[in-house]
Amino acid sequence: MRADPQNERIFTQEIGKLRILSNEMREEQNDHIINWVDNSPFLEDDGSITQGLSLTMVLPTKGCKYAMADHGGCSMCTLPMDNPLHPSEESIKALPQRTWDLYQKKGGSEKFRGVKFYTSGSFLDRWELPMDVRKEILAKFVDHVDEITIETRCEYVLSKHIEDVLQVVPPEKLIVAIGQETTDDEINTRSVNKGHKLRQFRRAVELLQEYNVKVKGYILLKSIFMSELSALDDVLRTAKHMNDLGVQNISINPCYIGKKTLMEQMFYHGTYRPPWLWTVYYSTIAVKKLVGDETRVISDPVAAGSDRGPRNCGQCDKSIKAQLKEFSATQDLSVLDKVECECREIYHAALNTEHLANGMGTTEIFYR
Amino acid sequence: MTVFDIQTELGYTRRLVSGDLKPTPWFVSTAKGLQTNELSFTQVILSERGFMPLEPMDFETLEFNSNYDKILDELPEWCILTPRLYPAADNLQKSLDYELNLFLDRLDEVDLPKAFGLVYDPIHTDLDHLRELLKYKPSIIVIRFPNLEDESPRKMLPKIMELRKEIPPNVAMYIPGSGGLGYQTLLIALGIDIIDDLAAYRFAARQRGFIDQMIHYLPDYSMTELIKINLESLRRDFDNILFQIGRNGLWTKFAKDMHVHPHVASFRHLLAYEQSLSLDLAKFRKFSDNSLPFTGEEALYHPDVLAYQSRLKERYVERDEIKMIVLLPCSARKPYHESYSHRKYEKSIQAGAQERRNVVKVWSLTSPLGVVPRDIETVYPAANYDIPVTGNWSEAETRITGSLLADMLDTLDEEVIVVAHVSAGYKDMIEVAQERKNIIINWADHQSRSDEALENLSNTIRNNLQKFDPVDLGKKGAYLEARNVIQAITRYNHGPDVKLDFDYQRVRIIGRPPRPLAIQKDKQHWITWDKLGGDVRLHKRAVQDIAMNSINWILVTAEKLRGSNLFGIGVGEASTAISPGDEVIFFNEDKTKLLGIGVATVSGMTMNRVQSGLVASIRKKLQVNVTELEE
Repeated sequence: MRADPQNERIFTQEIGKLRILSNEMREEQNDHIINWVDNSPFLEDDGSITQGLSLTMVLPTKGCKYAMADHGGCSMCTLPMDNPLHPSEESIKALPQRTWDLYQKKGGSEKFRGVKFYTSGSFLDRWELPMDVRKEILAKFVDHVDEITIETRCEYVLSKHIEDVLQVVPPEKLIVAIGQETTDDEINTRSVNKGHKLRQFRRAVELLQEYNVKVKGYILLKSIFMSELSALDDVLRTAKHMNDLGVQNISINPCYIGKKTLMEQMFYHGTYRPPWLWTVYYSTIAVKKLVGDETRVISDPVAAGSDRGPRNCGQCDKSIKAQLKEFSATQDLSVLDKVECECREIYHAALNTEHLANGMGTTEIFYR
Repeated sequence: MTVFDIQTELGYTRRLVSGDLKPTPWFVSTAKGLQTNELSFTQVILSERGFMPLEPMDFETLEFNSNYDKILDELPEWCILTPRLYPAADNLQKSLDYELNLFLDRLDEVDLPKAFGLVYDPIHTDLDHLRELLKYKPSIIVIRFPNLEDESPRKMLPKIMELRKEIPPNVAMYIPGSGGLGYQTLLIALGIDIIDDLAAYRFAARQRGFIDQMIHYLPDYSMTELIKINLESLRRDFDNILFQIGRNGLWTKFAKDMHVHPHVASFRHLLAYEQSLSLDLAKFRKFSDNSLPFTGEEALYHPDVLAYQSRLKERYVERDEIKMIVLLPCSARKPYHESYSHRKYEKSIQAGAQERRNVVKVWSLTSPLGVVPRDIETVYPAANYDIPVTGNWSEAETRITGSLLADMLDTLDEEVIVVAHVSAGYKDMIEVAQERKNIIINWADHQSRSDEALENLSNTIRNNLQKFDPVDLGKKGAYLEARNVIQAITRYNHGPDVKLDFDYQRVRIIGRPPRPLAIQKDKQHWITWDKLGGDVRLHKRAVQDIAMNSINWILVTAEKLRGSNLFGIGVGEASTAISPGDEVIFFNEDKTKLLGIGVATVSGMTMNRVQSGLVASIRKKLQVNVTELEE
């Protein structure tokens, strides 16, 4: 054996150092609820899809506990930077009312068919959000929307938490989103540093299915140390595994360069570039063709078209982003047929060689 | 074991063959995977789940791999194997080492196909890792390089040269993504065997087009137009490269390609001015029939020119009887002695030397070769080059050729008189040599062919040769010419210590040019001499005469030669002095028996590193104990 097991995850030392830096930049306290509205696909009883609006709210909890460990958490994750380091007990207790007020202010039941609660961590983690508070939040919304989505890591998907939540939300209205990122354990361990493998994800999915709760699986597109082609390949394999497990919602999340992350370091080093929007485009089509009508595929890339986000040549980025958004809301693949740009040929050639060449996909397009 | 054998070796450029496939270099199309006209490379990740192929998708139909999670049962032929992850950054060296070591551990466990490639990264790993990879006997080493056009030639050039020397010559090298107009000539000249067309796209992405054999910034062209133009241009350029390889003209093309872009020229300049001395000149052919059309100073650094100069200094030995060297200007017509000007000079020399003509030798001065003694002016490249003639010499030409002349004059006895009869342009070159050797400048002005100049030449020769006894050569003229030329060319080929015993009484010349002349000794065929082509072929008795002193020896792992070819497996050891095209002598492994003579198809350096493939053709088989041979 040449590979020294002690070095298997030695890269996490760098993530840990960066997390200390990013924590130093965090505010001690804030109670700002980041929020946005997006068009989402809603599955009707007859199996059809209709568009509707959802309000997403990021609750200012302490953020992801996993990211606070010495290993620094996930290599691409910058989300806890938005959260306060030590939110006061009062601000956490005020969240049910504040989220409700925000919801009303943004349009309320007249406007929204769904709400999504994110925490830059896990909604089901009591360290972030006490059980009574989360239940109170859910109770305020349950009668006013068709769908409530909450995000959590696998390890918090436990019977006691599910049953606790199901006391206020009927299972048909609940979606639990899990950031599995990939079902390839090697990538999860030695690139994403996710901390859980396919086995833990499978357990969580099966448990949620026992309670008839729908699952949303996040797939990370192009983690560090991967080429564009291997990233595209991994999305398809992961989608296949998720589909086989019966995951009903799949969200493809292309990487963007978060501040004070190992990904950012690689980006500056010139050995990482965010994925091409073409990769997002192709993987979206491929995954939708795989999973069919039963499963919703969401592909709404963050920071699309920017230097630090998924991008193409700069000419077609906006239109591809818009069409991916439209597809995500309608689940209609035909909307993606309209996409055409001359940079596509360049993408194809780069895709086929960069796994062997500079490896991390640094071919850029400089328009006049 | 690599699936490649070497078909041809021209410096670092080799034509590698495998089965029915066309010989390398190969041009890979990247639009739909990695494809040559004849095969596709499959990129496969060695993962903990097994062999994961990274299959190209059919983007036109938007139909995707229906499997979505294909794991291969076995590795396909022509796969390129890669690690699962590649953490390349300065502060992640241990992580990268882990991934690469894990990859090697996995390689230990798999059944490898016959033809496969492994990836080596010279930027983030050291040569030890390359040596580890080579232990698995890949046919291809894929070099993970940044884009050449974005990198410093000073950094990249030594890397490429180092890798080519490290990687066995029958293992193909592929640099994905680093081709491009001009660059692909450079890469292939330096021994890269597989290139691709990605640069056509990459340059188009930067609004650069390959038009008229140059890289232009073309903001008015669409990307689609540029891609089309660039692809066509690269493909055409690659065809030209193949054409030039076929006629040993690749380095001439490379010199021409300097005009593609200043960055390409930087590579050429660095190669010429700083790296040319590190070229293994023995890998370049010394006998060839291609023309060498030089246009400028780049000629001074052409490997065939450097190889000629190196061999001239090491192997040319002036005859003891020579008492005077006459330095003459070169001529446009080759060989020089057939030119109008040299015929006139010869008359003048003859008039001055008369019965002492046999002690006078003509050396022609020329750029870029420097010095061409009369006896070897029919060999390559002396008989094959062409330069623009202006009469003006650059400082570099003067310095380099002057220094070579001085080196050559140093090999002469003190008493040998040197007379320069040249035109004005050669004056500076003579002055460089004069710092080390006294040279009588008979004429160094315009009109070196004027009656006055030629008269002066006769007089100078006459006056300086008075102290030597005249010799009546009788009808020995043709014999002496054959003796001198054959001796010199044989030494140019086999080294300075070989000597052929040309006893006038025993030697007979039969035939008339343009057909090769048969030289008989004791009424038996001894040597074949192509007087016009500069080719000397030794017959078995001549072989025995020079065998023990030839530096072109190959020790064969058998007591007897069989068939008409020698293959790599049959080579015990070969002299590293051997160049492709050289005449070579075969011995058994302990050098107790002379086994024959033949012609090398690859250099001795290469013979020592390959186990298969043709390395020499056998021309004559012998069975002679070396005790019967003369030292």
